[in-house]
Amino acid sequence: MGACLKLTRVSRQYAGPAGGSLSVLREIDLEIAAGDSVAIVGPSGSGKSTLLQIIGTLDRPSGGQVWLDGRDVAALPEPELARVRNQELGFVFQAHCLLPQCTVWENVLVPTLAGQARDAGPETATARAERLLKRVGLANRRQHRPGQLSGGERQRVAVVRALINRPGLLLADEPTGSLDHASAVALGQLLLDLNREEAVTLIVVTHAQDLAARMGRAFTLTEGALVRGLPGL
Amino acid sequence: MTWRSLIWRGVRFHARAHLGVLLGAVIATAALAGALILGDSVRASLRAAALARLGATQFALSTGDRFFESRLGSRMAGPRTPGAGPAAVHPENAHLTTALRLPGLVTVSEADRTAPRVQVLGVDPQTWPEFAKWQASLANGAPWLAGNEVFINEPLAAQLQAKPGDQVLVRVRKPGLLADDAAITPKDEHSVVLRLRVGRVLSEGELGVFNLHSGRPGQPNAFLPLNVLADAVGQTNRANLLLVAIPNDRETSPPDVTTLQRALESAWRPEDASLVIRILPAADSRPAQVEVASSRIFLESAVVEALAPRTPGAGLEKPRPVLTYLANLLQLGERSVPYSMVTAAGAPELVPADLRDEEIILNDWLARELQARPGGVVALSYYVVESGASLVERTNLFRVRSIVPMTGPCADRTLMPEFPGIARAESTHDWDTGFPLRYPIRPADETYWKQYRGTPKAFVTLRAGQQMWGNRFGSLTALRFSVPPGSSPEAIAGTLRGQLQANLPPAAFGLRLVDVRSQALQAAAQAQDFAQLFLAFSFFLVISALLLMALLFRFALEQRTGEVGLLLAVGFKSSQVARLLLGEGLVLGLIGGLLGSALGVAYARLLLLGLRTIWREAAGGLHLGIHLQPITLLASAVAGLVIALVTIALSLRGFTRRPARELLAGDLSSPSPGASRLAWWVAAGAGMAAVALMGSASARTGPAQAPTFFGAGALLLISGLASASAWLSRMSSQAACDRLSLRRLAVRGCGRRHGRSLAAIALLACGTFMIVGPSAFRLDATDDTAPGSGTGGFRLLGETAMPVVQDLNTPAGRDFFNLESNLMHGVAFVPLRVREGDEASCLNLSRAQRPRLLGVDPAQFAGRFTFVAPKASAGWELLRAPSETNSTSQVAPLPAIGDANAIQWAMGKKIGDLIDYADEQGRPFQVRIVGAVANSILQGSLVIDEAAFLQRFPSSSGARMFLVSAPAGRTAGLSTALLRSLEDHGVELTSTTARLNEFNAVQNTYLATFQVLGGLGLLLGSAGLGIVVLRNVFERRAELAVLTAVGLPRRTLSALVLIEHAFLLLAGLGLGTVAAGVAVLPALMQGATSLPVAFLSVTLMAVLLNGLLWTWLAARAALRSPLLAALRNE
Repeated sequence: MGACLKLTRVSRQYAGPAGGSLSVLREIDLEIAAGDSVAIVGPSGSGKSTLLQIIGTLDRPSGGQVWLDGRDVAALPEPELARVRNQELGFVFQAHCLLPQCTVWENVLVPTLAGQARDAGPETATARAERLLKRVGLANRRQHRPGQLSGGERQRVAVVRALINRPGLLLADEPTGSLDHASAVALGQLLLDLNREEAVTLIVVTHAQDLAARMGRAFTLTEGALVRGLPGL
Repeated sequence: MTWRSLIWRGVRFHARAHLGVLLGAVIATAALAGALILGDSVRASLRAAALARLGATQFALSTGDRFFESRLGSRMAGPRTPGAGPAAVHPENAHLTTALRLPGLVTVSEADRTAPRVQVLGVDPQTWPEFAKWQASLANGAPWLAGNEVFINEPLAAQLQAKPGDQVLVRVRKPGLLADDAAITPKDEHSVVLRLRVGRVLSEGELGVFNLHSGRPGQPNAFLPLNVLADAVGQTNRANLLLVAIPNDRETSPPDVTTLQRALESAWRPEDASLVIRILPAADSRPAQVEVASSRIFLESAVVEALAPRTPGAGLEKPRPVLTYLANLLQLGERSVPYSMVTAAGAPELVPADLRDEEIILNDWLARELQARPGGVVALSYYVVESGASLVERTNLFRVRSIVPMTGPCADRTLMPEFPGIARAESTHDWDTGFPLRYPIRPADETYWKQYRGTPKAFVTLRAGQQMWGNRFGSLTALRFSVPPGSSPEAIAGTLRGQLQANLPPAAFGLRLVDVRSQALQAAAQAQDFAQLFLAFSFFLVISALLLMALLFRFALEQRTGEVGLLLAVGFKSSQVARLLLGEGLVLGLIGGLLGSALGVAYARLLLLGLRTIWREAAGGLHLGIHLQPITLLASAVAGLVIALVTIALSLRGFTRRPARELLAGDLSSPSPGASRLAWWVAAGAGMAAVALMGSASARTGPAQAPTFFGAGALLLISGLASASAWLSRMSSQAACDRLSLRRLAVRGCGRRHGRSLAAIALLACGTFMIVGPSAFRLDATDDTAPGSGTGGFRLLGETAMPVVQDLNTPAGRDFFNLESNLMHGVAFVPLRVREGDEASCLNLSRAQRPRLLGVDPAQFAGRFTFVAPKASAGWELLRAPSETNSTSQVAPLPAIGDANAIQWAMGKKIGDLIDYADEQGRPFQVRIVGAVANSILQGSLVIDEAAFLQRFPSSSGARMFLVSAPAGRTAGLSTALLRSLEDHGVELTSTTARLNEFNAVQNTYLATFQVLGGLGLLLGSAGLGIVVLRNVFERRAELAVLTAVGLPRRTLSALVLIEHAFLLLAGLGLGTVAAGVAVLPALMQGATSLPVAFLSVTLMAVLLNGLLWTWLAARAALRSPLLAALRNE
């Protein structure tokens, strides 16, 4: 299986308050194969989310390349990036970010509206939504609004939404951060199961050591550098 | 899941947040719809008024001081006369009626109430009731208009407070055969009085408001039977008005003006042009002759040309021209004979072909009286025909050529035309001349009159006679035709009649039909566009509503940054997100457009109520009713939708282009330092430009200062706003300070949401400027002494129903009107001749198609009024300069000068433009506007040279308007005296400042309307400030909670919020007031009383209090909720 994602000397600096610059990421190299599950941990402010946003094309690196399926996405123009986000990537945020005005079913289908669908394959978006909702145990909640769901349920809806366009890479930014322990454990397991069942590469940014430990590989981000393994292990 | 459902979900879910946006869209649309509906309503009301004043009339023929036979109408509608040309108009195709229309005045006999300028209409009892739709209201064939009755219209009844049964005196101008200012026209009997009983008060639907010209509504009219009026004024069986209505229920195509004019050409007779064809039987040695003369004394040149021999052998011999006029005195040495007829002729039997122009032939009687012999020199004195009441006498010397006996062709009393007041007198004592008989009439003269009447006593060549007595009315009194052998006088008379009808177009005598209905409808359609006007007036209200809408939409967006960020994160393009949000805007715009259109109807009703009450001056007295057109409502809804979408699109600008991660993090960054630097530069530049402009303006004087100072004020406003922007930017990025105070904390708060704070300041500052600033353009006429002012330096303006032919500047004229010489010392009159036309002033909302013309001697206006164009003006002398020849007509247009505002707005013209007119003889001519004077009492008319005026309208009699200059303190006494002396002329006197202020009131009312509607916008703006406060406070609840947590009391927090937002309020109002103060500086310095200080103070105070109230309410609402909960949410 070839590399699904490859980061080559990716760095990111921000302008400092006194005119200097603040370096968050320093020449990070990372290679992730298709179907892998990877955890990235690190203390607050270490740049985990920044790294995930760069991988997810929501931010651009100050230097280096981000190769996704053999293409340097960091060099792509914005409209093409929108297509990449819509078709090749799936996002799960700490705050579930569901549209409060829409039902569960509608929230799941929102990405299909961007109208950038590649070949839909044998399964239509609605069939896939139906299957995935059933898979995450929310088949009977499809007409409910986000306000009528628990935190864990909302996050499961967000996971289904992230998978609706059959992305190759699922990015989760602190997915369990706002959940209780039981819900967090269940969501972690769900992500791993889906990683396997849907053949989707999974990258999770998390503070949760137990979740990170269940991933195929784990990295720690410290002072802008990425180190293999979990801290203290 | 579809786009549509996603949009709909968004609209429904954020309904509460959208409510404010919707409100903004509704208000903006309502303001637009209201203005458009108002425009429709004014246009429809003007159209209704135009149709009401014309009734069924489609075409009209109005001859003014010329009269045609009242049967002309029935002849046009009657059966075709053999050989009379095209078929007459079939009665089914056109209804015709004739009338006699004269100026007059009406007085209630038992009270001292007079309506001075009344249109008195003698109407045909057979045709008028049907024409004017009286029959429906006069049930059971009730007799109408008995001989002693007058019907009056509602405006006249209101003016006189008269009702049916009241006795009134109707004084009507008695038209002369010639113009009243011809020397021989009797001056004493210029009017007749009829005592009549009011029979009915006619409503608008009964053609009570009949008027051929557009003008201010409320023309007072009195209707009486045609024969009664015609007999009273000596015009029996004659009329001067023919109206044609085209019935709607006809089956054939309606006749057009050309068809009707052809019918008129077939039906007219020489008598309709006051021409008389009479057979002069053979007498003495004179053979029988046929004479063509005019009951108006002089034959017009068109008649002479029409009878000129064209085809030899047509049965007519060369005519013999005759010109007979009255010599005041014939004198030879010490002997003289007064008041004798003298004939100038081109007839060999009267004047030998070899008579020289300086020679005269006397009859035997005169020769005896003067003891004259051939070779003697006779002095012939006469009044210049056109010298009017001034009676200029001239004397020519002639050498006696021969003496003719009292028999033969020269002893022909028929050579004297029907001089009014003379021809039919039995005795010289019965003469009623237009001049005093200064020379004593001797018994011998009386005997001559009794024996020979007006038989001429002397004869001169035609050329000599025409040099003395040729005038604007004509230069012959008769054309005589001999009867050739084998013919008869009757045959010759018939031939002449045929030749006149064939060669003379009736239009040459003013018998020309005009499509008055189309003109009236065109005038109404091209009227002042109130839709545009009120769109401009509502401008600030619309802008306020849209700003409010944009603000609220932006707030709603800011609440949805996470949602937008998510959509971008899942692969939506920014354009798709924008389209999604615009989709919601579309729904809001649609609902806002529909609701706004409906609310617009109510707003239009409110505006109409305003125009009927507090802004009535702007409506010119027009009866306004609402008129709803579905297309307008639809257009308003669409316009509302479009502006809502544009506003939303503008407020969306840049929002969806922000990075998804920023939106997901709720991070809306502040402006760059570069923008702050630019703002400082703009502030400095605009400030310096404002100072420079004020410097240049102070060098000017008068009205020219106003626009410059207004410009300086606007620049100052820009400078102030740019300074505020820069300062707020500085506040938002200022480094930490050592000492923190409540005030400093509040000021920091202002800079926190820089754009929002600047929007609040800008809205209030611009609103204040827009409301206060236009006061600089309020007009207040107080100066009636400066010749360069709008009053021309005149103190009084007089208008009369009947012309004044006497020269009020001469002792004789003043004596005639019993004006005391003491009172009149230092008083000067400028008489103006008036040709009726459309009122071309802002008091008439219709577009003036053919404005009223005033004829004045340009020298009398020299140095008066101020020309705004052309800049390097020759002043009133421009009127004398021959205008450039028009390439099509080859007739040089007449130069005309008018009021600049009237030219631009009431006529829709500019300098150099041409306006088509027809002269008294139906010949088209053009008037070219060559000059414009600033804001003057000349609104309503165009002024042309009096000489040119008389060439075009020779029948014009005297002046019907005069301007009076008088020493200070004399105005009141002078007014009383003039009102008394000219009462019978139906005089109306107005002080020139009052007249000018009548016109000014319209502009001032427009400004007031703008200020009131702008005030509404400003109140809306201050409510917007309240929303900003509420939003700011709720956004900062956590911050305030922290302050509470660290021990700050609620009162301190309230003060913090109030200080912060009161600063915005005061900054906005202060900036606007200072800038507006500069704009109105000239008005303040001149101590203008029209500056609405009270209104402006109340408005600004209301805005301040309203803003403070909203701020306080918002702070209170935010601080009353449990703040620590917000902290927990954080």
